[in-house]
Amino acid sequence: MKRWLLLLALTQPAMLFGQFDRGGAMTYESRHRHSALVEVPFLDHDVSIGAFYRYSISGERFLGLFGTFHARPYARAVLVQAGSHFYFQLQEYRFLLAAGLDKKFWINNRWDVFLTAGAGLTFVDYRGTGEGTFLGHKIEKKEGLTPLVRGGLSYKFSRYVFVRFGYQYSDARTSDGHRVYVGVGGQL
Amino acid sequence: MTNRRWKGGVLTALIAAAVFFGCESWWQSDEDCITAPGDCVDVRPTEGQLVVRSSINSRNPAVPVWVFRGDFENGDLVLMDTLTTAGTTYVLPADQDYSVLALYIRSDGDTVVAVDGDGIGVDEDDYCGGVTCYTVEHAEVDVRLN
Repeated sequence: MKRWLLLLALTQPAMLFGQFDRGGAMTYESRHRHSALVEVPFLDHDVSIGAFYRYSISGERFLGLFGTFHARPYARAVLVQAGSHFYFQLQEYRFLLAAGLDKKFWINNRWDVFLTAGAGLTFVDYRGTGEGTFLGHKIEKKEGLTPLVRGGLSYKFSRYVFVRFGYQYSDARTSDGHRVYVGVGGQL
Repeated sequence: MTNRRWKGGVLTALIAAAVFFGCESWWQSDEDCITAPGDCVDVRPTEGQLVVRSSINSRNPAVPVWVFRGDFENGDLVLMDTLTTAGTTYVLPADQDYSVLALYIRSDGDTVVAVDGDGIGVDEDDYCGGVTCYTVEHAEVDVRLN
């Protein structure tokens, strides 16, 4: 009996999280199309901060377009290979500019699961150099196109304020691309 | 009613302008200004310090360093040195950016060139009687081996 209850709870999230007014959520998403978040993807001592904007393109499907920009606002030492046995250790600022689709799967009137997928550009600024050559070895800027994938849970505190937390992946080139993702924002 | 609204609008615009453009000079008379501190440097400094932090270990007891004016690829070499301590300070001309390179050999035999850059700047603060005090913003670079 307990096993059946557990299975039911897992397959029917409403049992865990309470009831969901789907019609109300669709109306809300259609009327409040603009969302913005301050976001902080991080892992250990590698912390970025940025802004995220979402425009709801389908209130009925809870689907939106997003644009995001975030930066590591301090320099961090990274190793860039420039030869088979030669490396540059550079003080790097890293930035990410990306866009794509953002989908919400509502669980109840406060919680939803979000899934974000897009693509963007990651680029860097090194202290003391651009793309210099030293002892016959050239610094290659580790930047270019990257996917951006996010997933996690969102909690709506009030009609307009919500938080998101979960996982993020982007190809950060010189550091681990897997991050913990936290964001706080509003929907208007 | 319209006249009152118009006056209110002008007042709001004035307050907004004061906040936006910095209202200090509008209401601060000479009596309100701050007296220059006793240790005021009233002659613009021409030099500042470049503090270099480096690593010294058994594999790298003497670390070659290069200091360039601007990004190192511009080739404007200021000095070359060999460090035998975990850091040093150079006195160099102010209002300049510098890049520093330090060369290390890792335990696996690979070569690592650590690069960092910073600028030596001069801050200006105005005080009573038209006195300007100058403060040097020293540069700090970290070329320690990670």
